[in-house]
Amino acid sequence: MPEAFSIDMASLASLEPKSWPSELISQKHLIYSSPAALAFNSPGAEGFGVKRAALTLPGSVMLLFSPGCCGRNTSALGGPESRYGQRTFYLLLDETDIVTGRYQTKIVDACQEIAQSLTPAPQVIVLLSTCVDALLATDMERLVRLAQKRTQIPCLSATMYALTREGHIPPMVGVRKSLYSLLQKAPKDPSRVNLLGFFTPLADDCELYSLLGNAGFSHVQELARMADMAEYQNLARANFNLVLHPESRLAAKFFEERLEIPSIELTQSFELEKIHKQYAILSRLLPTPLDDHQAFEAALSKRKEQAALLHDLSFAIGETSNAEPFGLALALLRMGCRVAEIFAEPAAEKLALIKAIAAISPKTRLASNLSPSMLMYQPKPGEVDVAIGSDACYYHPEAAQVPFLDEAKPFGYQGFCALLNAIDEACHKAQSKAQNTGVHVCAAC
Amino acid sequence: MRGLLKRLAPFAPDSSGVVSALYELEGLLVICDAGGCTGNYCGFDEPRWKEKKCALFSAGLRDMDAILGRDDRLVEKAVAAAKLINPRFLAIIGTPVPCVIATDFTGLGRLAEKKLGLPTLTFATTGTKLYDEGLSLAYTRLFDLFAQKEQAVVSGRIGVLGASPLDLGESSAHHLRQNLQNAQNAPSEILSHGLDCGFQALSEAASCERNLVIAPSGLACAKLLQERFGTPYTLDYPLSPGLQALAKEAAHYSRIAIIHQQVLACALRRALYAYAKPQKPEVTVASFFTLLEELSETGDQHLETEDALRGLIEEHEIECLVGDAMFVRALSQSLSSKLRVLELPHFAVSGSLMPQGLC
Repeated sequence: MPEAFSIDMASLASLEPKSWPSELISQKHLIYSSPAALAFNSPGAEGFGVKRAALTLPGSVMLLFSPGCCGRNTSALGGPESRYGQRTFYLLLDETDIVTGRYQTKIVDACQEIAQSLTPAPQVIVLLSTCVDALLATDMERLVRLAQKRTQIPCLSATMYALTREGHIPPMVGVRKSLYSLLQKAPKDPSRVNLLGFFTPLADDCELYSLLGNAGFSHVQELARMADMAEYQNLARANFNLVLHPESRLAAKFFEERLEIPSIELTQSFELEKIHKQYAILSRLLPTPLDDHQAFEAALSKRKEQAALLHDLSFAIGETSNAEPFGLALALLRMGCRVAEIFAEPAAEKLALIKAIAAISPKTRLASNLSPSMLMYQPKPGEVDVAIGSDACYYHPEAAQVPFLDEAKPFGYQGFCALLNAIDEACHKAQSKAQNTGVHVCAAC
Repeated sequence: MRGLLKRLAPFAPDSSGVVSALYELEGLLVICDAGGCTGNYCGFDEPRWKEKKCALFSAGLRDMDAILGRDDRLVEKAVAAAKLINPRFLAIIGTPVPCVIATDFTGLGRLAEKKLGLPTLTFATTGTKLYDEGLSLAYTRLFDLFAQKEQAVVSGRIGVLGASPLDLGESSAHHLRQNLQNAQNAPSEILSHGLDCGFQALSEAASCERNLVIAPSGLACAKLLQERFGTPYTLDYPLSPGLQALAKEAAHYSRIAIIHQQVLACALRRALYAYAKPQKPEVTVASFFTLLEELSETGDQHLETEDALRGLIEEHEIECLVGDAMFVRALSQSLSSKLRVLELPHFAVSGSLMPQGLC
């Protein structure tokens, strides 16, 4: 019986990215849509796909025009019981539509019918296209103009082109930019700063809010916290943007070019010294310095408090979580933990992290969720105490489970503390389970 | 407007129907897509995905594959996966991408069969049609290819055709078998093709005394097996005690609509008539999916739009709706408030499983 493919980090680090095994490169094999990584392969399946992201705009409705299969997963978003309510509409295409392109004339009619059927009228209509329009080269700008003219409601387009996932503008990058495309240039307000990166807000207790607030930024703005389109326009008044996720770089470029709002990028990290250093650098760029002393000290205490627990643990880390897997693995290793496995696709830009991990823990194994061989994956009994990420949790049902997938996004010291709390809680749960069943689960229990 | 859904979400597509029929048959299944269609199938249309492993993969098409039509790459990837998995057959399932670029599925199948040395089935599904069409296509192709040998009929053995989780709302055939065993003339052996029943059963199709078609998707295949082996078939659905109770409750009303897959809906209607004696209520069977002439009564309705659904409830002055809760979304508040709704989930509609009480 063949085994799932994996490679130790020492071997991987010794290779140039172009020589990495084909099992780790998704373009070179069929894609396993593992139950562990559904959200990765089809972001709409869980978490945020383009569809759900497009509904982040306040008061928006979305018209998806596509074959029925493309809208199938949206049943989970619709319905009065959903937080998205009845905001998703579908124009289903048949084969004749695709061959003749006749559906394009129906889109504007459909927008009008939707607008007329809703009270109050939607504040924005998002026209969402799929692979079909990518291949037919549909002129989306024209469709947006026509729909806007007919409905007198602001319209924008977003694209759900999985075909371009590894391309220049992958779908999740494109939608991050599209969501800001309705902003109009406005006079700057020095008290406003935008946080770019996520479709839900940062956790309420994230120190970024207080740090920026104390430095004179009384309005820390995020798209997901905008109540209506009038408030949305305030995003164009920001003094600068903080980019918290690399997929927002294109959106940041849009802000710079169209709205003359510059951006500073902060990287999510689970290493306290790195976070502290990052805030120090940011501080130097601001008129009033940031004082993260208190938050830093609190996080250091937390780390000290949990050190004994963490030292005994062995982790499996997946990519379906609110943490970048290689950075998280390195942070845990530097805290003295063991990392048995990482489930992720490596990329050339991760090479430095891969080498750093290999230097500390050469035997840590890397497997790609997408490799067909993962169909044969079998966990080694007793090897992993804690699984982080829903994919790692799937592969290690026996381990303490830390999905770390909360909608409120963790960042900075708050993210670090939230992770430690989640690990602590999962270990306690595992301990209770062990007591109830007599099965030993977690080394720390 | 035709094709515009304002209240409902799209139903399971033809490609999902094909994969659902093939899921447990030990094949290498490749959905010819960029990833999203496979994700949708695994995440929404396949309740077995987290319970039963299946060698189901996405072709992982990228824009240049589509533009340049690089079928040879797809075949190479399938060959590599087949070496790992050792499947009984290869199936390549179409989606909107190959539909737009007009992939030659027949040619692709021949190329793959030659390279792999395995039977290869290709399905030019487009994602624009509905799941029952895909199921029907897949069952027919499967039996046509793998059920060729005449065999001695085994007394008491029946074949069940149309047993897909998309219709049953269950990931196993346990309750289906139980309900069949509890019925009169219980079979001694049940081959529930495609559900808790592997590849081997396909080649034993000729040994069945009769076939039971429990959804319209199984009919074409039943006809094929009748023609090939003389196996008779019946169209019926074994109702569970929970479904019997549902029929009994619905029988309190005089104008009832049952919206589901037609064979189940008609079995419910028959039970309902029996409970409602001596007065026969007016029962309309309606479906967004295939309506077979064999089972239809006057007034039964094929639904194509949300408006048609609303029209059915209004024009027939329906008092009781037996169907998926999602259908209520399509009705206005004033209409739904006057209506008694007896929930009967349809997985292909809402992705809701059948509750234990109805299984």
